[in-house]
Amino acid sequence: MLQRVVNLIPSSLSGEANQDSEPNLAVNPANTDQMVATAFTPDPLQGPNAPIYVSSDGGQTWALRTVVPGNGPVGTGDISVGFSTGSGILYVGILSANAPANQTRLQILRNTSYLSTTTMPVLVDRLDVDQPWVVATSVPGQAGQAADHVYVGNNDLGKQPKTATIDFSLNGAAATAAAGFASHRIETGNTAGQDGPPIRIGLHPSGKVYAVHHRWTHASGNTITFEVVVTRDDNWGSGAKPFSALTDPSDGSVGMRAATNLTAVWNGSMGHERLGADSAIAVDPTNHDVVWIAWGDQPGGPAAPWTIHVRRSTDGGQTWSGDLRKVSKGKNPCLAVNAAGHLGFLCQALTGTGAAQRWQTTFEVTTDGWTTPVTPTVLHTALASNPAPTFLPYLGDYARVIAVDTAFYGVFSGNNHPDKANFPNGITYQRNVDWNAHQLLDLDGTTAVPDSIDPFFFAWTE
Amino acid sequence: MADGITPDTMRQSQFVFEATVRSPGHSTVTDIPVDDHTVVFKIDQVLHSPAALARSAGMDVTVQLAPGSAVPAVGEQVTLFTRPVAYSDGIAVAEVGRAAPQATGALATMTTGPAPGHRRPHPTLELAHQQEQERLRAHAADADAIVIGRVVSLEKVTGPALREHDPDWWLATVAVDHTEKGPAGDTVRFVFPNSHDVHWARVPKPAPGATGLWLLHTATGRAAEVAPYALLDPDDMQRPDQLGDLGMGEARGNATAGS
Repeated sequence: MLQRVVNLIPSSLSGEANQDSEPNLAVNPANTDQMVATAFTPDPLQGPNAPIYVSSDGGQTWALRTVVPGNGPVGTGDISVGFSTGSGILYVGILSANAPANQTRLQILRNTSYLSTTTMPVLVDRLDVDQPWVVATSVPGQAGQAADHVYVGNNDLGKQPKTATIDFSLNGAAATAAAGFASHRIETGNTAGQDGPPIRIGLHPSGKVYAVHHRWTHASGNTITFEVVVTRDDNWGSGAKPFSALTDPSDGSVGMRAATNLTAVWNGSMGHERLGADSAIAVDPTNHDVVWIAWGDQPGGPAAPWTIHVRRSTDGGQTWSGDLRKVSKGKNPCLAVNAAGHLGFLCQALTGTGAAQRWQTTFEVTTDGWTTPVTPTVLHTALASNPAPTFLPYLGDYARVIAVDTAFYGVFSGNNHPDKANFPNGITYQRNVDWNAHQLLDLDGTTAVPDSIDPFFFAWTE
Repeated sequence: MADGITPDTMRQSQFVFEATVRSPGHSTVTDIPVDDHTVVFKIDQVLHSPAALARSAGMDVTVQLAPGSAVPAVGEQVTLFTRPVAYSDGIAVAEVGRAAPQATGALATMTTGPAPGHRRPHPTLELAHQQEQERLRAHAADADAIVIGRVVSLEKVTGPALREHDPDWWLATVAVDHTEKGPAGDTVRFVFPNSHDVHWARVPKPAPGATGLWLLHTATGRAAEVAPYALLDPDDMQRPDQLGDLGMGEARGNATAGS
């Protein structure tokens, strides 16, 4: 059941009106009171570092730490975070705000304490990379020493045409240069110049590491034809040919095509948001052969609405079900499987028509792949026309859900208009607000602050 | 200028305020280190701040005083120059510099104005305002061409933008009224990123017929195949009457008249 929904903006920033979109989340599995979240949030004092959100009480309250090197008008660029399971070290992948004018700049960072107030050191620094996505774990090694295994999916556009990439280290805590990180191309097929931006990764304690990426096979104008490709490694990526355990029997190529001949109109628009790439993957911790994926496309062609699909494999990614869940006009699918083998699914969807259109964020848990119908829990619903966008992405090119034991934790961004009807299952704001007047208030408690996009956290337990 | 406060102090300080000591050795922000140089102040007056904290007078703020510095007594008033550390139900900042309130009179000439990316006015010290002017002048000095003119045509020049952070280059042709820097001519052509992606959204998007003071940079890469110059920075478009503000005063009269 839903435990809480919390607006992450702290009370000391009640005067902010930024578009805090594209959230991400890390929860320390060893201590779930410890959390880190991120969004396109600038340092409110416009200092040299961008902030992360931190919580030390299980997400009930949140604060900002300005520790990410580089701070632009929206903070850092794309950012993703992950805790290792044993060491508690926080790993971060960013597109730095300190990039050359016409290039992106991947940096991989780490901090031994998520509450640190010092600038995070840089482990990896590379140009022309997009959308880093961090997952981490700790693996018992020799002499009882655990090693942090850290994986950063990214779209390495400096290496066209095969761009889907994972940078990973099998000892991320190492003091050596780059902390053992090396870059591995997971795309082996032919592309139309590049892969899609999202490269997502799912880990299983057995050492099976799954990745999913979108292979762009054809581009005509803005219309992309693509395949959803799943790759796998069976020993943490430690062998000579990482992520080559799955092959497609149709042509013997590395990686299994889970879906083919899909259509996406790149940079299409829906409710102020841009479209073109949604992706998620999750592995069942109770069975390393059970893996779930989600993606977005336009079924049947460019005129169709953007649609989210969820499918499952029960044989390690070799064969795939049909759609077990489908959301028309959906966005930002997130998947996670808890210790009971139950799947959590978050999705943001545009509902209604015309001026009444709303962005609705729901979360649902299925125990049997939706054989038994599930009624989604509405976390948030708000008019899609408000506020006006200041940049893209409006809500984000992604959100995130994480499972720890039997609990689920997630973040999403949305319109912060203070109306409790927009949060039918409850809400906590830290920032100043007059709920009766439906008005955000500044630090002085009286000056009106305009609505904007804020990041929201939720916790769900079984 | 107040004793010990230099332009460098101001450059490193994002939040300047007059405050009264409330509680040494304490913090209003959880989970930050506290020692005898951690002091809670009450903000009496905000002197320089981005919009988000412009109305923080009356609030408590936790200050990590400079290591080895004197710790003021309870009730003592100081002007603090600070940089950010953490934000929660309270704010924590680190001291960059300090002055007695009466010593900061020369600094405390207040202006108000919008900051880029913010929607409401905020206080700005005159010194900070001057430094912002200096920054803009330095930015203008780095430009390879500076003209005043009117946009006469806009044209998409690259194929579909198939990356999230593609600039989506467009070509602007500007009828030149005044050339301040760079080769003279009736027109100048430059590319600009028409993308509203987070990476490019703050760079100006010239509109048809718009007249501006354009700070142009030599184009590189794919952009150079299309035009000699590029618009790359949020400050690359200014109002024509700002030419003098950029330290190019001699041309100001002609430029304004011609625009």
